Amino acid sequence: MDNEKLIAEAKTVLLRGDIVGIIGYQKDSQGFRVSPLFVRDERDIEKLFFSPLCWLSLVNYLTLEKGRLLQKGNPGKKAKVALMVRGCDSKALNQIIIERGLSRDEVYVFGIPCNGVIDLKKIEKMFPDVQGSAQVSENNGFYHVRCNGKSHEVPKEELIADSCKHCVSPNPILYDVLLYTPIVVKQPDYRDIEEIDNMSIAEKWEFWREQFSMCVRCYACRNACPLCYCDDCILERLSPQWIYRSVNMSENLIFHLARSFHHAGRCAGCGECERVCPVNLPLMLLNRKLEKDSKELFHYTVGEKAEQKPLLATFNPQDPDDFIF
Amino acid sequence: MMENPYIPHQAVIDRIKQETTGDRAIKTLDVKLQNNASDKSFQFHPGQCAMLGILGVGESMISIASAPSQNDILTFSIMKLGRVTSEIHACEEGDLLTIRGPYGNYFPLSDWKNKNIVTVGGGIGQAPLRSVIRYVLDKRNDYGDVDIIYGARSVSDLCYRDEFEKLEKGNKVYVHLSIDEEEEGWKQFVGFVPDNLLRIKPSPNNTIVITCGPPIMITLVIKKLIGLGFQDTQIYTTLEKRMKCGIGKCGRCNVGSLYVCKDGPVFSYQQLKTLPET
Amino acid sequence: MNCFILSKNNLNDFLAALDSYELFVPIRKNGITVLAHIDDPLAIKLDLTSQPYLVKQTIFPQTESLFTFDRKKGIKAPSFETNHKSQVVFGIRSCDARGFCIIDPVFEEDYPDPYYIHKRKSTILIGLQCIEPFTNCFCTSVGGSPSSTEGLDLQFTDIGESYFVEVITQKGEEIIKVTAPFLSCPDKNQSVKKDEVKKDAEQKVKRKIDVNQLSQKIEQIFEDSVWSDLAEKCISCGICTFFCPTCYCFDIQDEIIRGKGKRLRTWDSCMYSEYTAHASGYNPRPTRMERLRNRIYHKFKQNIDRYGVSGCVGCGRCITLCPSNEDIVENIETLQRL
Repeated sequence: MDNEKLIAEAKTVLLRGDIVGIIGYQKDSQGFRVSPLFVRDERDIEKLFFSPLCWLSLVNYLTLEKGRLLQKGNPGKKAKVALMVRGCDSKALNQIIIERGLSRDEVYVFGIPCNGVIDLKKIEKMFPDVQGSAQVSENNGFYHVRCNGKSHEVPKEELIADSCKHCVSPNPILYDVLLYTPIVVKQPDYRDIEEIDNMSIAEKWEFWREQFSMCVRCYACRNACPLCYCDDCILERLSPQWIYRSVNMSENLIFHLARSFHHAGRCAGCGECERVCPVNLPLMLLNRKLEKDSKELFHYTVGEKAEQKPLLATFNPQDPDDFIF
Repeated sequence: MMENPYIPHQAVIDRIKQETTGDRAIKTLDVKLQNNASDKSFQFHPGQCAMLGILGVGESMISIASAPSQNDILTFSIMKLGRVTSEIHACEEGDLLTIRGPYGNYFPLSDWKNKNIVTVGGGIGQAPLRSVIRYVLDKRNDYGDVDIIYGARSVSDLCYRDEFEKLEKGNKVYVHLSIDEEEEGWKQFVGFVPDNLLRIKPSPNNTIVITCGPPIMITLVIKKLIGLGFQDTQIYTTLEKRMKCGIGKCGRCNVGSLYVCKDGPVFSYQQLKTLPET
Repeated sequence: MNCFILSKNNLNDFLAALDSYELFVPIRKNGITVLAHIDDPLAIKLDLTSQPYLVKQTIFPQTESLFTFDRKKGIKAPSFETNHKSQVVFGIRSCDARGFCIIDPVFEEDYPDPYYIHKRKSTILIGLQCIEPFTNCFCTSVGGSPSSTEGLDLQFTDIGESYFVEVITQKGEEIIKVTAPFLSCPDKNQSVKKDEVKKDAEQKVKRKIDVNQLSQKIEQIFEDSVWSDLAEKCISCGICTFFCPTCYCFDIQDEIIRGKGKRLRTWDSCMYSEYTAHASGYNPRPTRMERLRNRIYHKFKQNIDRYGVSGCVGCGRCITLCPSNEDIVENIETLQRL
């Protein structure tokens, strides 16, 4: 994946005049880390890049601070923002657009077919003590890792983020320009969900009880999620109060279940929630369980078509209702 | 044994007066401490506040609007804004509240003897100023002229209207009321409080000005006072911050190196200028 | 200072001898290391190599009941009589111990906080000398060191086959009395080795920040646009504050069911927009810029002004855990360069 096309497009886009800035990825000077980059003029463009290290959703920044980003440089007047969007990100962005959280003409999308990104914790564990910056590229099922002056070939499965293992939408479903070649799509795999489904009630309870007692309610999962953008979030509302602020297994359980349910038929599968969690909660298990249920009960897949209606905002007389009489 | 500063005292609502109505209605509550929690623990000075609360709902930091000489009964004027204040508004005479305090610093009124006092208030900002005015009236001979400049959006938004009428009749103070827009029957000044201040033009000579109200009003008032020749040390105000513990521990009301609940809420303009974010 | 040797083989026995205390040790859970309360030290696998998280929970719990109440009967205040067992927290690092020393004055001044003070007094802190400082450590730049014994009651230094145990305080002496059977006296070589390990560790702290005149600098550039640039990638979560050894902000909430309930406090974060939001709708820190600026101001200026010491212990956890890679070391560098 060479960055030349990306940078050339970025330069063209900045010259357009109607685009306030570009949100992209930049390589940090430390180790394997990647940060968002907010490009407003020529000077920073060369820093833009994409590699398997880019496990970060930039769509989130569109809805942080209620659209201020879109107004920067043009206070009071909304303008376009360009951003780098992977397959999963495009599903999230599309979902926000069909929910009318943003309009399509407010974003200029650099579509990036993505073959999966690396779990930072896994690679930092495999290569601790990296001096300076490290690079990673992908080739034929292997990650080529260059750090501390040496090169290593690592099989993809050992480093790829868990949420990417289940990705069925590597190609962006909406874009203004497509960088890089589209990728062959895999079939969905829910074996890990079925494994939990097959546990006894006692086993399931113990599994989740242990996980949720670790949660420190930092709200990073909610803040990092591109689809959590409600002005008045039910998870922190005080009038009425749905969830107590005390941090214990019971309230944590409701916090995560509520958040997952609010993503039924919406979750883009970007895995941001798992990426940012400081105590490594397997939050995607909940989201993917609901994704599986949406498929089986309502034949609904997020991001199947760019113009589809939100799942829970539509009603079909054929919807199963065997629990109501 | 260490005293537990988080444990509140119980108090009962003695009297409720509806000052204003509407979305952000204001009620003035006379609150009586129960049991043996009165007298000693509630010696307070004008400018100080107390944490008023309801068990099961929470607490809110409210300025004490009565004079220290008013034994046993503490007066609070409360605007219905959030969860706690809404619940307090739903209370009736005889209902129980919790109370902690008094907290914060206070207006250095003993330093201001023989000076003229001007209070400039807007809306509910008049509450702590009411405490000052009553204190000064208790020791009337210790102070010079007293001018009360007070305004609200409309006639129905003015607090303490009946009290002002009595004050004017008593002739111990000068009362200058204002409302933002013309209203039938209103004969006093029409316009914003800072403009009324300019019209009255208090002299900076041997005078202290205390101003409380919406942040915008305070900013403009201070600007105009400087223009009239007042020094930084002659201007006082109170800062408002979201508070939870009231005792300088939870961090919320912090500004600069200070905690507004403990090191404030009273600040001179000279001090205010050294604080960031204000 | 009294010193002892504890063979590594005897570590679990040493801990088991502390059965008259509530014992907290570092264990691996879900891929991180936390201080967990354990009942049986002999059956537990300790993790003494990774950076422990959330040590402050042991003295300043995340959620703590202030009192219970019944609307009909009134308030039931907790008693702090010493019927409670004291607690031993084993295996913390110097930065965590210093962290407690830095937040002590907050809870002790003016209106002493009995919850914190009682726990603090009845907790014995046993530190573990850092052999290999972690990736983002910069403690030596802010008045700390991997060898610092400030705030500790005992310090263990790994010298190979055994631990060199230094007694720092009277509370530490109490522990020695109970665990004496497993301790022996150090010889000169062991003492020399201990000094070497300590000196080595200090040299190995890789990251550094320049705090020279930083406090004044922050005040001077308070209105500069650089703060917006620094805050741009922040997502306003609470991770940096929750995992920080010197953050202490808390929220107070009431919980009530059918007239009975409790008032509790729970950790809060100045990084949340709700933190300073007034009921009127006004918010003095409406964007991430103001909040990030305030946090840096608090750590590197306010704490110095009010308590004479930097509020940051240089543990680097905020850097390691930040979802957006906000890096305080880089941020301070940027500010100093202005």
